[in-house]
Amino acid sequence: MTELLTISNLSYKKNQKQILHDVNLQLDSGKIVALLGENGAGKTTLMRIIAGVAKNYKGQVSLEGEEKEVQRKAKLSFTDNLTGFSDSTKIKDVVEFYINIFTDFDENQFEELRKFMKLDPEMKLSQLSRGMKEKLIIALTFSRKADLYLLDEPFSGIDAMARKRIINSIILWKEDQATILISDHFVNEISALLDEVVVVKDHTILEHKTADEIREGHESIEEYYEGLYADEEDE
Amino acid sequence: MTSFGTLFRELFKQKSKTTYLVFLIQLIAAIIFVIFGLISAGPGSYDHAMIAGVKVNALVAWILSIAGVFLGLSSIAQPVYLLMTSWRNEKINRSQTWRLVPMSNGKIYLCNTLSSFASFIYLAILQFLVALVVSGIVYLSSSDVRAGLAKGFSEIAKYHPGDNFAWLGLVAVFIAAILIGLFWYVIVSFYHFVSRAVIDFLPSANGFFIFVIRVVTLIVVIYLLGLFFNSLGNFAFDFVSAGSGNEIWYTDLLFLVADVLFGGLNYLLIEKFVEAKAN
Amino acid sequence: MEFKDNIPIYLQIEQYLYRQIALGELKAGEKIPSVRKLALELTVNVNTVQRALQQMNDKGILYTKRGEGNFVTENTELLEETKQALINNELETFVQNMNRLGVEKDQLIPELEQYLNSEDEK
Repeated sequence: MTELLTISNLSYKKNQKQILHDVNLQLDSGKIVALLGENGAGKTTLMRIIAGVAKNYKGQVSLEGEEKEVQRKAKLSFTDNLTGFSDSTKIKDVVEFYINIFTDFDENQFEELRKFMKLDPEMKLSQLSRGMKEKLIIALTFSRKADLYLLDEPFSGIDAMARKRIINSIILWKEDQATILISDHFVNEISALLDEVVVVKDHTILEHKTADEIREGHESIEEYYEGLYADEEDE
Repeated sequence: MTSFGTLFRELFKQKSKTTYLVFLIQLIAAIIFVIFGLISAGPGSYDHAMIAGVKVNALVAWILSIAGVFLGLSSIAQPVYLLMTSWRNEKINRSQTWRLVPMSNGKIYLCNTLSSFASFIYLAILQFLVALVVSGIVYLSSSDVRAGLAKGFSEIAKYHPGDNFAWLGLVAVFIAAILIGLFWYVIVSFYHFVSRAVIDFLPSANGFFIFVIRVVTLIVVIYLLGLFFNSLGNFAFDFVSAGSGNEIWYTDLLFLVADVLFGGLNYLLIEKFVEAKAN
Repeated sequence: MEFKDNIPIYLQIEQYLYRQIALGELKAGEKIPSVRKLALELTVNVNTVQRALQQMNDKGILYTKRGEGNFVTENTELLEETKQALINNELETFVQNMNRLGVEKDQLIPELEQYLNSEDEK
């Protein structure tokens, strides 16, 4: 296994509020990793920093040894909510943007994913349900040939069928050496899929374990995760 | 890595849709105005239309009036377009979708600004083409018009013998127009970036406080601009001796420095401080 | 197939495949489905399937033909052992459960005989 992502001594403040503090994380290539934590724990911020769209942080983030944002952006694929497009944009126009802009975008793979997700290219963004939009975002994100995929809460607010499709697409289309980091505040739906679990709490990474390590202690990932947050529920 | 040209093409492609829209609205508005004019003036009002002292047929006169109103509307369409595109520009500057493009943030900013400006120039070119086409139609409409125009031109030439048309001056005016147009985009971004950096830095504020920050930043930016144009203006004015007919070159120089300086500041601000909006 | 979340999944995949073999769903010498297909069928990570298959390879239950995939061993002795292990597993659970119900070891056989007889009469 080769080292893919290394984050050291990362701190980030916004509006004079500490959002991340002294974060250290190392991910190897070829893994499926969950980034767990409550809403507002800093998961999205961490992903935004890795992806090079959040600024002004202290510490180092390197992806395959590259610290420059441009290089990182070229090597990773981050789920984007497509807010840069107007609501009347058709799916096929969004795809054209991706084809033109991202040199690693694989049009054929997108076609396969699009069919798998049952998306109509003529549909406008405004016509998509939450689940369909999430499926489109996943299809676009996976159609890039990246080393690191950052999926920010891909399962929030979508139905079981859509979730199943997305999970299956992860299994089917993930390249062996690619790593996927999936953030969620709920672990059940993806626990069978995971190699590793990273828990964010109190503005930092509390623990980073392999799924097997957790289960060998006869604990489910859910129990483990809830255990780490248990003290707060007592308050 | 995405190349500058690729991103530029993509941005321009999207922005030129707005260009066509504004152009079309301008054209339709012109036609509607002329039709209203025709109705209120009653039938036959074009029967005695004259160009360069020559009678022309009603259709040509009609086309000519539309073109006249159309070109007149440019003075509204252009500022409106400038406002629309700079709004769009700033949305793109902070859009995560665009900021995820594998290119440095500073370059994305430059590409965005230049493509907005290019689409603005494109609108001006389209408007100019209308003038050109209509002139052609009028010119070709009858030999009398051609003869009349030729007579007119030769008379103009007679009154100003040896006075060469000031081509160089025209180029200077053209450059000034470009630099000032670009300055609009640059200064809007500067204000946007500075206020955003301040809002993100200060403790989180409610809507009213953010409004206050925006107003204060606006005042500071205007003050800075005043300072810049005063000090550099005096300097440049000494540099290019006043009253020599070179004032327009002095304007060019001034705005060139302003574009580079504030554009450079924007480049730094977006590289270091201004984040993409969380979506 | 539903997995228990508090036992390493690769172990459960191993158990699942042993069962498939014992039930004759997968026969001696037969090629087992590809890693990705198994992963999709079981909705688990490819790495996890690989780890399970690796373990089974190490134990000799499976063998790998380069470029062709994994095959069930033709060693009948080994397959018998595997089946026996499964049976032992079931018996262990049975004995433990009976114990909890207060049925001691020496009572097990009479209880079982009585039950089987009553089943036969039906």
